[in-house]
Amino acid sequence: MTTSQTKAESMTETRVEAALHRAEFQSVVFADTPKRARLMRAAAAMPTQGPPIKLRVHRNHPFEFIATLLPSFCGYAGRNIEVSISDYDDSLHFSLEESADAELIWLDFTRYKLPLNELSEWLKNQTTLLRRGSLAPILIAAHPDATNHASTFNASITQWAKDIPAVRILPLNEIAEDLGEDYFDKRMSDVGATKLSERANVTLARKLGLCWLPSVLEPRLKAVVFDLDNTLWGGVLGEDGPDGVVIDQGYATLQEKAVDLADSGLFIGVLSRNEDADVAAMFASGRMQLPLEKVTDRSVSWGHKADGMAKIATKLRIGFDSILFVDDNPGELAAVASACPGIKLLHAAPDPLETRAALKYFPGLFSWGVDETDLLRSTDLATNDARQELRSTTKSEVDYLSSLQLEMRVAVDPAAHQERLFQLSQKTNQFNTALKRLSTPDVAEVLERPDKHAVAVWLTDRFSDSGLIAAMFVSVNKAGKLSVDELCVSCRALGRGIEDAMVVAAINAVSETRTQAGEKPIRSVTFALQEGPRNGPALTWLEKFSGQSLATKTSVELSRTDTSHFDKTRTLPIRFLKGEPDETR
Amino acid sequence: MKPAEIDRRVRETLTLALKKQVPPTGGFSREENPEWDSLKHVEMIFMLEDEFDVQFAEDDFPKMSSVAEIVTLVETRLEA
Repeated sequence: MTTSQTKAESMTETRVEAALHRAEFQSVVFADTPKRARLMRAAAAMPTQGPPIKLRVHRNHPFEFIATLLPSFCGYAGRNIEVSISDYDDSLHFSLEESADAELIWLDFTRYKLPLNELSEWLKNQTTLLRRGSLAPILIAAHPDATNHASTFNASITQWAKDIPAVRILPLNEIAEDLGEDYFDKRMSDVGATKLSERANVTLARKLGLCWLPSVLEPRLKAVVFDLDNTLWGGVLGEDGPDGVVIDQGYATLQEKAVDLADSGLFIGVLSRNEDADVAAMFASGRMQLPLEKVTDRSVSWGHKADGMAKIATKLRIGFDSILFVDDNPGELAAVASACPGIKLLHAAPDPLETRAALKYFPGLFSWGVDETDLLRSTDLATNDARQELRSTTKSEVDYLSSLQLEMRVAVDPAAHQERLFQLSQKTNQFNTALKRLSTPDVAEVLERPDKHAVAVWLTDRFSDSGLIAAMFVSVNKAGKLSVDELCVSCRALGRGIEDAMVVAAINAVSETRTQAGEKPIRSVTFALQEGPRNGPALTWLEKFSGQSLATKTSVELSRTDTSHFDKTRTLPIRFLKGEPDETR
Repeated sequence: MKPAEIDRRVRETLTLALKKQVPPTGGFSREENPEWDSLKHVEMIFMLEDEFDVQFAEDDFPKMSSVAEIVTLVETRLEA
């Protein structure tokens, strides 16, 4: 056995162990009422990787009771966390010397004498100041009270927060409503200067560590794939038969959760060792709360589940790291984790309500509302077969493109789409030229700096609106030399043969923006490149586009005037549009 | 629950809350340990209530300033 083989096997073992080890903490992290001591003990034992999340808290009342619980929840999500807490400061005098991954404004609004409408305006001004001083996402804790005044205040801050990039309002009012009288604990006011109960502290820490923070720091998962026997129903279909398997209130509730996840824009997959005909009959039996039309893809056979998972990932055109796999069998979880790097695992508990609770909080599943990109992904996938059929019936590539009725829209530095640009950088695997994996602050910096630009490309055709499907992050110097620091295209947009057009349109848009600003037009383009495990399609494209071999290179340069691609693109039957799409249409 | 068991679990809880090893026997008080501040005191109360499934009264909080005081109080609460 070679050294590299040994190393690879060792890494796989570590990965599987870490994934299974994390599953051991499910009962602690997803408990109905998690216990502080158990959480703190678990935090010390959880495997984490990467640099810690740096959370900076600007506050006027205690956050410590939540901060001490965050390592447990962030640890379950695979990350360490460092929390830096300001002094008690009603005036929100921000201290921003160090960098942070996320900012949290944590205020007890009852401490202020200002009317709430004026308080909202003041908070808006302070948040704007913070935005100027920090590139990190800003989270603002809402007013938890149920009074009309507090509701109006929350509506007001939610409204202006939409106009400040990367600001999210944490709905403490919803948590307070759920917990009712248990949200506050008046006993603690004097001794600890906090009004929050332990239940509120734990609930808020869990929401922050598992849902809110991951949602602003990492892209959302794209699919949840369920095993069937003893996971989505009780019993074994092959042994108990369709009338013998159990779908009681617990399993029905779990299946309803799967429907909710589908409706929130996630793909739902089914991966089971069974007879496909039996499974199809079960779905047709009328007993399932999860109808077959909500299942995007299923792989049902007696083969290895890892193979089935690979088929599902290929069909959905997503990487394993975008998938959560739910199975009651630890052996199956281990086998899939071993063969599918980066896949997330959830051990289905004997009580389906526990699995449902875990799906409520599992990191990467939370959404701030129905994500338009997620919904577009489903539509795109559903219409892909129609595109393939069209391609087979048209005589030439140009005829095919013409019949697709393509519309390509390009915008330079669309700040309102910062989150989607971040998602593209983080999640594209096949078509990502440099694998820079820009963080939210990185993207914000690109959008801000005059010598850098982020270009977004939207695509629609006769079958679907694919939305924002490509991002190009560039640096430009005074001489008109453009460096493409990263080019990433969603795999949903691949296969239509329009990659050249996208890139040329993006470069032209940057050039136009520069000349309008009195700068020189773009004369040459250099693509940074980094070979990764899965970005072969991007590098193959770049080799063809540049006409140069990429072997051993870390970048490739081409003159904008010399290459034929720029002229050729103009003749393609594509309608090119400029500027961000009108979201109000 | 026997007093020795309560004593052991109180010391474990304090060790976790204060992030400082509380010795298995002997006195351990707030006065002698500056890290046992008001915030840690509240956190310790939260953890003790979880650990013993009891609820302390606000009047109890100032009386929980040493392992011995806490053990006595927990015994009282468990008997109530």
